[in-house]
Amino acid sequence: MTDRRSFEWQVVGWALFFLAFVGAGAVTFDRLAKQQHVMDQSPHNSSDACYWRELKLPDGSRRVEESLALLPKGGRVVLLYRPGTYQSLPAQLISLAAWRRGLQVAEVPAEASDARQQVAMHEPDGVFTLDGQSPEWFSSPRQLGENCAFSLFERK
Amino acid sequence: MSATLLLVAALAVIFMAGAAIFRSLAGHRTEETLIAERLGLSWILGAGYVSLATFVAGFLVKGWILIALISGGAIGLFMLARKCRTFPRAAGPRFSLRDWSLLAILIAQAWFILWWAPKVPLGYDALALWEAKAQMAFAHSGALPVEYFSNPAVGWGHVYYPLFLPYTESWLYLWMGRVDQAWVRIIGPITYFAVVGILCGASQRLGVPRSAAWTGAASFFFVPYCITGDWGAFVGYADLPLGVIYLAAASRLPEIGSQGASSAAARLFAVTAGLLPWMKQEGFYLWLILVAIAALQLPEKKVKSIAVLVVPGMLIAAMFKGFLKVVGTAPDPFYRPPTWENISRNADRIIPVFQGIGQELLNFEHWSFLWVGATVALVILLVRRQTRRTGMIFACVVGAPLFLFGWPFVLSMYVPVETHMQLALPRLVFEIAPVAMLVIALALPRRVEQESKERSETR
Repeated sequence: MTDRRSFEWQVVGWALFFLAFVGAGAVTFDRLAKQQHVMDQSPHNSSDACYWRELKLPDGSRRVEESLALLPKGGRVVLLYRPGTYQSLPAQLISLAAWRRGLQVAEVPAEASDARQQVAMHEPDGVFTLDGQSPEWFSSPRQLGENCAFSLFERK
Repeated sequence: MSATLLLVAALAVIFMAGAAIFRSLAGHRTEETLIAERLGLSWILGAGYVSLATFVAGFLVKGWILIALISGGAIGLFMLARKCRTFPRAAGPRFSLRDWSLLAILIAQAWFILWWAPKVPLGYDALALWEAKAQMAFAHSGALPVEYFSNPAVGWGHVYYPLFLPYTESWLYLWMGRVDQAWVRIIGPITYFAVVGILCGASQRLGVPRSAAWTGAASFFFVPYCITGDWGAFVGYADLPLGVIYLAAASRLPEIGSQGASSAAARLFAVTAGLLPWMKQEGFYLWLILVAIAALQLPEKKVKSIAVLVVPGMLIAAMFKGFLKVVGTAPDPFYRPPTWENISRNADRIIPVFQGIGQELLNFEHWSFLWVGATVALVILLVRRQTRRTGMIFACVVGAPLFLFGWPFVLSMYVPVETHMQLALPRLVFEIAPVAMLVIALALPRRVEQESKERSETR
């Protein structure tokens, strides 16, 4: 009798636990609506979501690929961005896309006062900036998105 | 052929290889394992086979030859495993209304996950580390080139991270013939279902009644971090995959004590635990913990018996670490080596770090009452005489990693370390969340008749 009663008390205790567990867990489900979603089910949808989230760059993978396609095979591309910030991940994605095309990638900190000289030292064929509007020294700027621009680089 | 069909074929090879390895290891006890657990284990073992085979064979062959070689190996394993004799499983009790209700809940949860997961993009580490490596491997017809490990072409760190996940992803890409970030996320839901399947099967295997076992498995859905966490189950991180392997291996520990090193449980333990170092760096330490507990469990502590438990993991870890050493991979720049000097230099971090771990376990927005429940469950298991041994095993299985996870933050080179903890600690805790859920299921009340049966079996 005692065993049976003890069993019943245990069942009640665990039922209350699971009720609280499920209740507290379910409360957080309202966060789902606030989470970022992919825009479509295209093969680069996660990269696109990242470009949009960090750079307000729509259809990012395609636009980056189109820009990289303008560069000669084996050419050099410089990424101008702030390392260690939200710009790091899109910078890595662009690096990967460039690497797939056989391009060499160099990075220059966007906050450097001599950024222009540092970029020129790499003698690139093209430059991306992930730090907002394109600098005035970009020779043929294409604003890809709100915080991302690309330019072919004229070597002097 | 459409990419979707090719993806199905790639997954079929994984499951076929995994099922064959499971059957070879479980032998005549195959049927004793619940089908849901077998499917979960097939995923783990199959993905382990494919990724390891890609690592080994990928340096020699590429592209379609690599696909043919690995698929041929899977078929060979399947043919061999078919020869293993198995005994039919004794029919369990009939489904009660409660069982049907729980099954309906599990199916509804699965439906929700299949609807929700495709909306979630891959997260930071998934894109920067795991999937990026898969893309690079795919670009090299299946496997990363040797030069990558000594001189990565682009500025990513973490070259020394193991390749279970990247090579499973590149396997899918190789079959599909293209990089596909939409389909590769299928790994998340499959891993989640593997957790649920193994929770159902392992709990029942360890004596929990069906409805209680399924209650535990269905409750995992309500661990907030799993579904709504920033780096939860569906963002392509390696933490839940590591967690499911840890769960699968740890759930075999109680059986090793009673059945010995020559048992199916010991073989399954050794191989599943052996995959831990291949999934993530901290997996090596989780493997050490499990192997130490398993060795202590053995009725006869002979070198041969301990070797059975240790060899698979040691081989895998030694192979990868040896390879990195040979090709000259730079050491991990983010942590100081665990020397006494480094620890004493950062001694002022020890208390805040472990306070931080305690606070994380009580973070209800991440874990609901999971850790409160797991603590109560462990106390119950330890207090009850007939479950004391199981309680001690799982106290170590849950407690030792929590203790160990503090030290990387003590030795971290990230500044400030609080930010590092904020970013990484929930993910480390997530790795042992499945096993914590198993602990809760094990402590659920059993009818008096069942307990007396267990008591007589213990005697």
